[in-house]
Amino acid sequence: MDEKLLVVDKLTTSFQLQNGWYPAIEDLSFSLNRNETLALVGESGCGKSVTAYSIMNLLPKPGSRIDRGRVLFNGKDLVGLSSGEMRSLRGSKLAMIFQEPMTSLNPALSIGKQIAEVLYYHNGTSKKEALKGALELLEQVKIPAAANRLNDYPHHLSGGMRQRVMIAMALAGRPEIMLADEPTTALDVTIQAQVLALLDDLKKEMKMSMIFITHDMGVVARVADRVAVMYGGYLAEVAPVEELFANPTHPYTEALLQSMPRLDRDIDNLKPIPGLVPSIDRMPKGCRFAERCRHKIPRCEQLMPELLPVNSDGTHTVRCWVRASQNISSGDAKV
Amino acid sequence: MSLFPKAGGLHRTFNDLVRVFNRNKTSWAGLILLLVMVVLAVLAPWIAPYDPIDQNILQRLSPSSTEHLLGTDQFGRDILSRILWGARISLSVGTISVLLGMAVGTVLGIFAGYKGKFWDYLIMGVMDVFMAIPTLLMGLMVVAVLGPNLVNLTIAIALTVAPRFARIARAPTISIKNRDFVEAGRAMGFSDMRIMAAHIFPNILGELVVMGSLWVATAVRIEASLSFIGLGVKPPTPTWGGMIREGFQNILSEPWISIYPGIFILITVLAFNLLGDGLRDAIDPKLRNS
Amino acid sequence: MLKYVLKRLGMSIPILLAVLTLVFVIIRIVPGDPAMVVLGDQASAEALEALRAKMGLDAPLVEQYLTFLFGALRGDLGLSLLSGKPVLAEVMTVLPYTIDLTIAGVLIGVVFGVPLGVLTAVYRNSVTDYFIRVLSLFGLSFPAFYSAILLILVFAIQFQFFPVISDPDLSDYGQRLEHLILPAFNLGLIMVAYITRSTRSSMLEVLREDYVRTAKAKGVPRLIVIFRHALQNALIPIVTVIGLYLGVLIGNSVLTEIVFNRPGLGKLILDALSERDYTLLQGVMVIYAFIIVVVNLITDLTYGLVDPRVKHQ
Repeated sequence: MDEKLLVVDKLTTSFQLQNGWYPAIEDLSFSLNRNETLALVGESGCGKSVTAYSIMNLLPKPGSRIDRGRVLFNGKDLVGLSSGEMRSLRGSKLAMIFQEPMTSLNPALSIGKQIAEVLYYHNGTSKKEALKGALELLEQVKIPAAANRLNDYPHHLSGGMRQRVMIAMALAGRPEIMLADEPTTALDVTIQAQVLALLDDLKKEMKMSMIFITHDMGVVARVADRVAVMYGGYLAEVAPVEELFANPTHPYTEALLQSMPRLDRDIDNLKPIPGLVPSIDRMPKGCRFAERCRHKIPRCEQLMPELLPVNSDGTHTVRCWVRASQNISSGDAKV
Repeated sequence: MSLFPKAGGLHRTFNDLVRVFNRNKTSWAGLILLLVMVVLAVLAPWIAPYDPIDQNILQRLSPSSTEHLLGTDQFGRDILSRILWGARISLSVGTISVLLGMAVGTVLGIFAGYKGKFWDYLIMGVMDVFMAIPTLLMGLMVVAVLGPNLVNLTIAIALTVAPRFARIARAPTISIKNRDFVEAGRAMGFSDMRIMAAHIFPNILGELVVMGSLWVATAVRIEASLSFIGLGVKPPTPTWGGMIREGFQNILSEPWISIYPGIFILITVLAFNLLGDGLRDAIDPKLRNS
Repeated sequence: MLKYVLKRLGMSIPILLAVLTLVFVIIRIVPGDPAMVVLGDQASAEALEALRAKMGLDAPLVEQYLTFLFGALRGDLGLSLLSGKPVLAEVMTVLPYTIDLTIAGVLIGVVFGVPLGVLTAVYRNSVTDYFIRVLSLFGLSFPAFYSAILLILVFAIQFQFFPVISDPDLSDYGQRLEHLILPAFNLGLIMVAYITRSTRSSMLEVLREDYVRTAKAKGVPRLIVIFRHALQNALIPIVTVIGLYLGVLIGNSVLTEIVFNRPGLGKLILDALSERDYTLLQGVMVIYAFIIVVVNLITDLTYGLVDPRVKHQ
C-alpha cells in the first residue's frame, strides 16, 4: 500500500550570498507515499520552501543551485531533467500553490484565461475548450457564480477567492502531487478553515498526494498524515501525525508544540522558542538547534546527530543526541 | 540606504565611497574618464600647444599633422588647443548649473514639504510646470531672450534641473517633520530649516550624488546643443558645440573640424552617465542582483 | 473609466494654462525694448512705435497676457514679424514633417528598445546584458546633433544611401519615406537607448513577481512566461516612458531637424532666433506646450487602457 510516489534522496541546495555559496538544505531525505499528505513544518528559514522549490525546479536563478542528491518521482530523477521535460511535468503531474494569493495571480489576465492556460499548454485543448474547462474547475473549487467570474481580474476577488483560483489552476493538470506552500497563512481564520476543508476534499476526490508546508501546528493536526519537522536545513523529526503529537521527541518539536495556542491550555502557558533560526551562512557545526536547546550536552555542539528510529517499526525518526539515544536504550531495556 | 555614514571620520567616508565604487565597475570607468577630462581642462593653459583664439590664415583647414595633432579650422586655429580650452566651458557650465539647480531645488523642496498646504501646492505646482518644458526648449527660450552668455546659459539649465531636486528633497521632509527630534531641536533654539536640513541631507545625499551626476551629463549635452544652435558663449571663445557649428559649414571637405570636438562631448557626457548609473546600481538595492 | 478620463482631462487644463503663462513670462522678460531688439538701435522712433503696436507691446501687461492667453486657446498666435503670415499657418505647414519624424523615431525606439530590454533583463549580468547596457549608455550620451552629423557623413556622404538634406515633397510618399529614414534613425536610436533601459528595469522588477513564479509553476512555456506574463505587466509602466522622455524627444527632434535642414518646428525655431522674430518663437513654444500636454494626456489614458486595474474601475 505504501507505494513511494516521491523520494527525496540526500538533496542539497545552496544559495549564493555575498561571499560564497551556502547550503539552505543539506542531505535531505524523505519520501511521500501515494494518497498521503506530508506536512513539512518549521519556522521561516528552516528550508521547507526551498525543499518545495527544489522539487519543482523553481529555484531563483542565478543565485541558487542543487549541489547533489536526487528527487525520484515515479522512479524518475527530476534533478538534471531538461527544462523542457521539467516544464511538461510542472503544472500537470506536479502542481504547486503559494502563500500569497494577493500577488500570485497575474493582474493583467482574467482568471479564466489564467486557468485555461494550463489546459491549453498541457492537454493541447483548444482555447475555447480550455475556457470551458476553466469554468468547471472554478465550480469544483466552489467559487459562487463561477460563470460570471471567468472574465474577472484578480483585483476583483478577495484573498480567499484568489486562493481558490490558485487551487483551481493547480488542479487543472490533474496533478499526482500537490505542493502547498503555506497556502492559508495569509488568510483570515474562518477563510483558512474553508480552504483547508476544500483542499482536503479535493485531495480525496482527485486521489492526490500532498506536501503541505506550514509553520502552524494547528494546521498540521488538521491536514497531515505524516509530519516532517525541519530545522536549519535538516530534518529534525519525522513521524505519523498522531505519534508526533502524542510523543514529540526532538526538543525542537516539543518547543514548537508548546508555542502553539491550544484550547485545552491557558494562554499564559505558551512558551515562545527563545532565539532565532541561525542564518545559512552562520550555521553551527553540530546540531543546528543546539544553541537554543535546553537539553544540550557538549557533544551536541560538536557533531551533527543522525536521523535514527525511536519506535519499534521505525516510522518515527529523530535527529538528537539526547533523545534518540535515550529512547533506543529504553526500548532495548523493554526487549 | 544612504550612501554615506551619518557619523564617522573622513577616513571612514572615504572607505565607504571606495566600497560603493567597487560594487560597480562602471562607476570606476566613469570616474577615471571624468578625472582625465578635469585634468585636461585645468591644465589647458599649460598643455595646449597653441593659443585657442590666434588665427593663422596660412595654415587654415589643415588636417592632422605633427604640428597640429587634430588639424586646424577655417581660421587656422589649432583644434586640439580649442578643445582643451573648450573643456573648461563645458565642465564648468555643466557642474555649476547643476549645483545651482540642486541647491535651489533642495531648499525649495524642503521648504515646500515642511510648510505643507498652500506653499507645498504653490511651489510644487510651479516646479511641475517647469518640468513640463523640455530642457533644450527652456534653455533656448531663456538664452534667446536674455542673450547668449555663460551666466544666462547656466541659469537656463539650472531652471530645469531645480524641480527634479525639489522632488527628491520634499518626500523625506514630509516623513520626518513631525518626529520628536525636530521638536527637540526646536527647543534647543535651532531654526526649523536648519534642523530639517541636518536630518534630511544624510538621507538624500546618495540620491543627490546619483541624480547630480546624471544631470551634469544632460547639462553638458544641452550646453553643447545650445552652442551648436548658436546660443552658446559667443565666439571666438572656444566651446565644443560652437566648434562643431563652425566646422559644419565645411562638413563635406573637412569633416574632422566637427568630428573631434564631438568625441570629447561624447566622452564627457558618457563619463557622467557611467558614474551616475554605476553609483545608482551600487546604492539602489532594488536594482542589485538578487 | 469615464471618470478616469474626465479626471485626467480636468487635470491637463490648469497645467496647459500654467505652461502657457510660463512661456509668456519668459518671452516678456527680454531686457530693454523688444522692438529695439528686433529693429536694432538705428531704428527711427516711428518705426519702433509702429512695431510696438504691431506686437501689442503698447498695451498694459495684464491686457497683453489675456490677449496672448485667449489668442493661444483660440489658435490665434499672432502674425510672424518676419513673413507677416499668421504664426499658426506657418506652424501648420511644417507640422506634418515634425510629426512624421517623431512618430517614426518613437516607433524605431519601441521596435528595437523593448526586445533589447527584455533580452538584457532575462539574461541579466551576462556578457550580452553588459554589452547592451554600455551601448545604451553610449546612445543616451550622444548629443543628437552630433549623431546626426555622423549619420550624414557615413550614410549620406560616404555611401550616398540617403539625401544629405531632408526636404521631401509630402505628397510623394516614396520621397517622403526616403527623406525620413536617416533623421528618424537619428532620433530613434537615441530612443532605443532610453527604452531599452526602462524596459530592462521594468522587466527585472516584474520577473521577481510572484505571478511570474506561478506561471512557471504552471509549466507554461518559457517564452509565454516572458512575453505574456512578464512583459505585458512590464509594458504598463513603459507606456508612461514615452511621456517621460517626451522632453528628450522634442529636444532631439529640434536638433535633428536643424542638422538635416528638414522643415519642421525645430527649423522654425531656428528661423525665429536668427530673425529675432519673437512672435514666431512664442507661437512655436505655445504649440509645443499644447503637444506636451496632449501627449501626456494620451499616455495617461493609454495607461488606463492597458492596466485592467484602472480600466475596470
